[in-house]
Amino acid sequence: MTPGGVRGDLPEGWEAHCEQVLQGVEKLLGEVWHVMFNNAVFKSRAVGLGKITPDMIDRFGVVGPVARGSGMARDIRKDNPYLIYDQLDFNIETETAGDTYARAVVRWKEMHQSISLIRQILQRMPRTGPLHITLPNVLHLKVPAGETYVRAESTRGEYGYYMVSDGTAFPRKVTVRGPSYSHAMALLEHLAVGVNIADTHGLMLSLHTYPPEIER
Amino acid sequence: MKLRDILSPLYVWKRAFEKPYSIATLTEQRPGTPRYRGFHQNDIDKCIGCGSCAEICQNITIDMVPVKEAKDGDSGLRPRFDYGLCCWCALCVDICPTGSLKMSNAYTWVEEGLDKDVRDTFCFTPGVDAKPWDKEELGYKRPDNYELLHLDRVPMPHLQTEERISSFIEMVQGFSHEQAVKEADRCIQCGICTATCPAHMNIPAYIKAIREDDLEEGLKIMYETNPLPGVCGRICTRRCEDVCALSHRGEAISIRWLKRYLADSVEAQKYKDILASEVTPRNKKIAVIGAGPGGLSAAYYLLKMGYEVEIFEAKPAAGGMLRFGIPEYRLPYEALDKDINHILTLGAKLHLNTKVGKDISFDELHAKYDSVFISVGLFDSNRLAIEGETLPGVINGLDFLDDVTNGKIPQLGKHVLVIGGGNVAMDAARTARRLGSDVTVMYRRREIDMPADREEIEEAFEENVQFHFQAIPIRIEQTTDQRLSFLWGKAVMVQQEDGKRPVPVMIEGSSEVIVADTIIAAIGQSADFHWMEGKAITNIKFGRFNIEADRWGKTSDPKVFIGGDIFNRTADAISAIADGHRSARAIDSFLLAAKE
Repeated sequence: MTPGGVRGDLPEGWEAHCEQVLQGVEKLLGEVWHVMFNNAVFKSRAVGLGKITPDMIDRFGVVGPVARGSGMARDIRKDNPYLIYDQLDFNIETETAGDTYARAVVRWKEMHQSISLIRQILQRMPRTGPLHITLPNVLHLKVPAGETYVRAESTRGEYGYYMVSDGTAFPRKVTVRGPSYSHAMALLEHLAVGVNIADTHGLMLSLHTYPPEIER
Repeated sequence: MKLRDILSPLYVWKRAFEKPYSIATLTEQRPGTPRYRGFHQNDIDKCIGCGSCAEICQNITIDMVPVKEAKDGDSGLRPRFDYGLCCWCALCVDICPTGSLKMSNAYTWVEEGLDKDVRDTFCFTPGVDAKPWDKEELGYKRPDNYELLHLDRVPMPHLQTEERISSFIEMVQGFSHEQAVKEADRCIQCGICTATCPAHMNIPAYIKAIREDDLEEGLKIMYETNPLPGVCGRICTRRCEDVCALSHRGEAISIRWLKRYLADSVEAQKYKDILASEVTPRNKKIAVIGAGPGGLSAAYYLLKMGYEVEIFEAKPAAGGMLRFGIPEYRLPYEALDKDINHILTLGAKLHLNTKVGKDISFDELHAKYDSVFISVGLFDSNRLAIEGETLPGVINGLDFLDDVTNGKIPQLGKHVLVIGGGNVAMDAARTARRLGSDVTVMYRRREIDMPADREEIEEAFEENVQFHFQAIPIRIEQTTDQRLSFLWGKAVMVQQEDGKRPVPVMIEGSSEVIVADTIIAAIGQSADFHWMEGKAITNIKFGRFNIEADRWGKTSDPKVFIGGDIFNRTADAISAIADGHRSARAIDSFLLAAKE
């Protein structure tokens, strides 16, 4: 994507190739279910690990699949739709158990959801019309001075984007805020009490914390 | 623990019977896909070194480094890439005005050895530093329907042809504010035009001023190098537009029309305050002979440096060729006077109707003034040198245009012949058209050989001027009903070596006749130096057709300088203006040195 639109159309045969890839992923997801989710070892370690109750969600600022694993049906794509999400047909995937296993299941279900979204987008994408319009000279682009805060649903959950412009072509400040700070510091500290040392890693992974994001 | 949960993971054993996904070897080359954005390629002959790639790069990857010698339209610089910074977004390829920059689909580059400075590793100038991917055909090129630049000009409104030929109203109507800002926005600010302009006007800066609506600043920028912007904004030969970066794949920026918009937008009475500057009087006097663009420009810059200037002009008004040669429909007198009056408000003493050599001697000027600048132009029309050229009704182009300027409209009759192919011939032809005659232009070479401005020739065609090419004049006779009979012969073009223009040679026995009421000869002009006589010229060295002078216009007499059509080879207004400015600085150096 560039100023004014996109550079070109989808290459020849891309849609067929995409469908092929999606089918391959679906097959793999089926295999993953057999190998990982119907797995005694995984179940014995993940079920009951790091249980998040619904009252903890607002207390610790839990978002994304981590919150949805505890039954909270919260998804910015549905609550506050942006781009074309209000035109796409999908449900918020939840589980009720609130433990590591439930969070993994939510993520597995969301992968199927993504495949469905991609198929819908490909079907609904217009096949005619301009791909690109020439904007006023991009070398002289200036963004009006001001600030904005935008939210979007990302892999880990709700992301906040704070941008400040001083009237020139370059933003003065861009801060991206993800949930890793609250998940990795406050929540993890609370959940890690009493957990087997060997399982702390799995717990942290299930919260999908990302160390660089803890302080972006 | 369910039995299913113990047995289900064994499902993974089916993989033992499937083909593995992994690639067998790490050293096998995997070529990039056809449109992959890989390492850069640059056609350094097509590249003009405009620097747009460096400008748009968001990572300061590109440095413009000197590679070739700079020439008209080519800065001599070429982009050098630092792959430690590049993110391969290809915005540089997208914006390239000539289309010389491309990307191959290569993505491996191994640098060996530690002898290089770490800041130079993975840096190269594509097209100059040979690389293995130079000949690679695949890779990213700017797609066809994708353009970051606006390649088409904002069209300039002109009067319709029927309206044009019935009067002397200015043909070009000028940009509105929106049109000017839109056209100014197209400019990529590369500055290649500035080097080509004879006066080296800071074109990107004043175009930026138009875009940002800072008209006063724009006016100041123009006056730094050109005290006649309203004039040049109408009649300049615009060499800048010929080398504009956008002209390679699209239409050049309308630099001339933007200059006109800027000069027209500021009212005449505001000029004095906007262009005011500190002037330290130098108490030296300089005589300027000729109030054309050369003399006026020299006067302006000398006055700004603090000198006293007296201008001696033989004609009844200032302007030279601008007023007496260029017709009103191209350059209205109002626009010319606006620029001239500002120069005069700085304190120049203008002596009109004063011919040096008749009303005042060159000796006197040479003795009384600390320096003399001569820019008298070429007002001596070349003769046809054929029988009958003295018959009544045969006039020369410059005299004709001079008369029309002075309000002495001659009776041309129904059919007018114009002999010649230069700008004076076009001006004379189109003026005659506007006075109601049918006009035929006779030129001895072909249409593509005509030295006149291409735009003038096209407009003459639009105004229904007829043309005969490869026509050599033989004789003029008077007919029984007081008209003129013009005898001419057809010519063939004989190619010359050394890139010289092909020469027209008349076909033996060829003879054509065309009858007209008036014949206007416009076959060239030369300098007239007869007025330069007396003791004062003892130190001045004359050549065969000119006065010898160095690139500053300084003659062999150190206090005498020349400029304009009598000095340069390009013979247009902007060259005269540049000459005046350059000589003013040389005069300043000469006088400062003389003081010590």
